[in-house]
Amino acid sequence: MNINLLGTPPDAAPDLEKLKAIKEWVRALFRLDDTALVLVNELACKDPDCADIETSIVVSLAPKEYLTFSIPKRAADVSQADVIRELSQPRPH
Amino acid sequence: MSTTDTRIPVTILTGFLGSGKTTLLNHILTAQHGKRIAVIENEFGEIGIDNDLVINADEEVFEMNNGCICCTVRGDLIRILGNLMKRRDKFDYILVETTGMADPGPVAQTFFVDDEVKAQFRLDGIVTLVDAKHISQHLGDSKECQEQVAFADVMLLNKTDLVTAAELSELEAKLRSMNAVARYHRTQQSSLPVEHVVDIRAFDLDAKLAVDDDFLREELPFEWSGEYALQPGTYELAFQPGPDPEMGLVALKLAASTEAARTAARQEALKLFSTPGVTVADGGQFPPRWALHKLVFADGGGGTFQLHIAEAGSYLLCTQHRPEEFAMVMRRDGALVEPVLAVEHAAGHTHDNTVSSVGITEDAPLDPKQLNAWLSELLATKGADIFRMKGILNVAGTANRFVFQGVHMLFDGKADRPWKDGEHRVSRMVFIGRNLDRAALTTGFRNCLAA
Repeated sequence: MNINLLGTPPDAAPDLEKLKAIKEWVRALFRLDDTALVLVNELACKDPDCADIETSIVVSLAPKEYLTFSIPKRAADVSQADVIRELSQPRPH
Repeated sequence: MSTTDTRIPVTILTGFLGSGKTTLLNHILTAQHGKRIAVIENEFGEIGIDNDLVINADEEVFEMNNGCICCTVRGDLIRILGNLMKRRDKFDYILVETTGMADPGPVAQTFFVDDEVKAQFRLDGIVTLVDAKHISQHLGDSKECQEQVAFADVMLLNKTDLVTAAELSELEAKLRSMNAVARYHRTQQSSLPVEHVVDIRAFDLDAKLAVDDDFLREELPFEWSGEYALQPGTYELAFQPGPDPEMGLVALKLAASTEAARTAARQEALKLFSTPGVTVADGGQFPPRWALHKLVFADGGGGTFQLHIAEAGSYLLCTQHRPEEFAMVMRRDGALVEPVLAVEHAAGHTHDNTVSSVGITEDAPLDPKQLNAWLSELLATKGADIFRMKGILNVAGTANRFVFQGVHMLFDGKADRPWKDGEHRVSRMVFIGRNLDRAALTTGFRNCLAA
């Protein structure tokens, strides 16, 4: 982990409506009901393996079971196509 | 004034079994305080009492690892918060009760793992209720109990009518040694104004620091300081065997015999106590100077050291332990020399608790790159042990203060209001956690100062 505590200027905080939209795209794609949890978090990480800014998506279908996804761009720049592409990729078992 | 924050304040209420949480909740739900509070608690179904909403929670805790960050969160709470936002017009504050055996960490971390939650809710403070009569039984052997104390922004010492004044003072001192930055209130039957529980702005360090310098006084790494009026010559400092094989001591010449000068000297001593120090063996001599002296006692404890004074004046001695623990005395030519003024300090370190607080204050601006690198390393290696951190930072090259708070590996920071003209630009940071290394934290922070 390599944090960027001071790196996000306040005017770049994710837009609430956009966050809601991303969650709706995830719910629609996975056909999730209200009992499922969808978390969206913009992370700034300076590790060589990480994008400078990534939009992290966590989907929890049942208690203590969850999947994580990452789109290497700001939430403001994430499109529905990005969500579909990332969440539809085959995942290692 | 801080920048306006319109997010809904959330208070987390913790406390060991029998500490009085239910009684406190009943007070809050029935008192005519005019505040509309949504209460998320453990035992009851969803009901409405007057202006308040009461919602049942099922404490679904799960650990999450998204690659960069590990944390433990409350899934049910995220769902409840989402549902509450559909009834945003019904309440102004949220109070989350945890079960008596719960670690407050997962509830607190829940407010940092989702940007939509962060945008709508502000973790306002963690209030811990303590049963003054029985908590001592649990402090030693219950990890959850220690964590509840460590996480607290506000500590309510409840059931004070069941203990003596001396027992209460001893308990408060013990709790303060673990958590030096919480606000302490003493209560009976969980009775206190609701303003002490909701919208307390516990993360507003300004409010705490503006009142007086308690924050720093509580955080001093030495237990005693005394002012002496000394003449040129050699003074003997004699110690009897005590609880430690050595004693840290700083001796500084005061600019004047005033409280302002003593406070300034204590600030210097605070910095010096985080340095490796100069070792002085039994029988050795040292002058007052800008250094920490580590007085190493003889085998079997105790020892005698010579303090050499070159210039008449007022001097402040700061000692790691209280002098009476070592029957410390100062003599000149065989005659006792008493301090003209002596003060005991609640030490930020502790002998018998692994949970403690470390506060750091520094005037020089911080280099943001260095700070990021240091905090990254610190949280990656010690995040599990750092329960809370809070800070107001003076960052080089920026006109605004930077404020932040964190829980374990998660944190939330933002540029705050601009520094005012003439305002003392100072960084203040506090860590509360288990096995904290004061010297390492202070040195690490100081290495982040801009050149």
